[in-house]
Amino acid sequence: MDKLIQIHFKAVTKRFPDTTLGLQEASWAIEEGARACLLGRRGSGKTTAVRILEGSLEPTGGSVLLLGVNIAQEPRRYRSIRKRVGIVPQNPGMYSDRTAGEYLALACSLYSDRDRVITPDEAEEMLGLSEYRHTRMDYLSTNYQRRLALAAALVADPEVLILDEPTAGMEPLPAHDLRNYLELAMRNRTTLLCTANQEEAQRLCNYVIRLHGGRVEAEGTWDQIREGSLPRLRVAAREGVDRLLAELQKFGFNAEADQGSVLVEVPNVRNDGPELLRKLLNEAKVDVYECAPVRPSLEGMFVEAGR
Amino acid sequence: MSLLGSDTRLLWDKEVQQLTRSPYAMLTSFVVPGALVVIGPVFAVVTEHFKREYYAPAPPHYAGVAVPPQAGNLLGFSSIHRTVAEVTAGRSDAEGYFLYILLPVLFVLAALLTPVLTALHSLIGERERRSLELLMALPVLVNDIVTAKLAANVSMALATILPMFGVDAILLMNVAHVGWTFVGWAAVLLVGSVAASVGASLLLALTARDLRTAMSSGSLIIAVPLSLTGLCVALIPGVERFAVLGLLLFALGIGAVYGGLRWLTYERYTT
Repeated sequence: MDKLIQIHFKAVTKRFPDTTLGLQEASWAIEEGARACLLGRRGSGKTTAVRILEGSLEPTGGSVLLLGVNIAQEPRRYRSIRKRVGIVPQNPGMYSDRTAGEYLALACSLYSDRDRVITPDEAEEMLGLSEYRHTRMDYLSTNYQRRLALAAALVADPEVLILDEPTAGMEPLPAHDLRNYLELAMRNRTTLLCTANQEEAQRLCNYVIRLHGGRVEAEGTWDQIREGSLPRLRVAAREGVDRLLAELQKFGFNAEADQGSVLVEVPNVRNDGPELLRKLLNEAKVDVYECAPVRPSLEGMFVEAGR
Repeated sequence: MSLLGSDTRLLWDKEVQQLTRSPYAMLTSFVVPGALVVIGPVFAVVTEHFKREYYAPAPPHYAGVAVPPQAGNLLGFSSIHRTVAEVTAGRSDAEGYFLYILLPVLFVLAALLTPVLTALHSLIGERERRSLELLMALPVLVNDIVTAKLAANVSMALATILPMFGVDAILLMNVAHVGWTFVGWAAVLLVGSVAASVGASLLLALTARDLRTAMSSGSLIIAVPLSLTGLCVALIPGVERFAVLGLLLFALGIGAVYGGLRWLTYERYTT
């Protein structure tokens, strides 16, 4: 049986009053239990997507369904399903007149009509916040501030968890520490993680939606993303890189020098590889001593796509 | 607070708690209405009363109050003369000037400024501190957040202004010998001014990006109800000016809330 789709963006466009485009015809679907990430640089539309999901922005085109409810069209139903969703905002400010415990108590009371609500004590315990219960929120370190935001999102044991760059701006060690908690929090629940950090995305998620300039550039599992990229051949010849590049350019191939050899883009390695070799050996009379298919790294692919 | 939904009520609790913990909000809530609703009126009414008692016969026109002699010919003052004579026989011009011209202005200023000043810090300060992000991540709608903030500021203002108005009412009835009608319409004026303050606060929250802009554009927005006050004081005779002005300010507040939400939308507040 097909899994339920819990977050569904259908051709969503968001144009701000100053005409900036936050999202452009963006479509993606996240199934129940998937750990998906919105991967993209600053300004790619990740936070706009989260804002639409939390109901603070309305799309100017298309529709967004969260747990089957159209956010803009069904405000009453949205209010009720919103209690089944936990959201961790990006780098939130902290109150100077509230303690961590008071904030968690507020979160608990707002989620109180949920059956599975956990107590502030349990949330604090879970994220190692117990000793900071009476500490002013703005006195907490960044690490603990982010944990607090995560704890507030988890108090109702939500079915869907939305995390907007939870480790952005953190030092490596605390970020690593927080990722361990995120891993626990994401277990057995549909998650949408927004991040610009590919390493983090690969560690925590099994499904990726690559955003660039508000558009979806690629979507799928990590393997599907890799397979969908244009394969390349690494070619080396005795005559050297310059001669190889010149000959490949004559034959109309896209190629670039890389570590003493040349990387050539080909639509299909199996079909186009032998043809390329024949041309180089027979027509160009180049002594090719290496020709092997190469899959680009994810990072390389994304950097290339970003350009 | 039964008018509010359960989520909004929880947020209202939080906002009231934060207001009572904020020295700025507490100072604003007590000092502004304290000066305008209690100290000013008490001083004016009591001094005028004793002046009448000890320096009989009644003082000449405008005695005891710094009013230029030519003011009697100005728009509104001529009506005050007539009104005082018609409505409050035997009342001195100074007392009439205070009761019918100064008092409505003081009431409007107190009930308009107090909630606006605290709301600015609560609404725009929250956005500037980015703690609004935390609130929006909770399972509430932006509408709940803004409503709770405005309601908390209004509650706070009413909780301080109404008891102070109680002091005024006792004083005015016993010393200046005004009737229940006067006190009733003055209460309507206070409530109308608070309603106008809600509209002004919402418009400021939706239009100003930061506190500094809010403070400068705030004077423009507040100029509208203040101009209305001036017009009513000048054109409407007698105690009816309190009622008409109160109802007009109430309508202005409702109109500002409707217009703000219809044409500006909450997105301006959250982005």
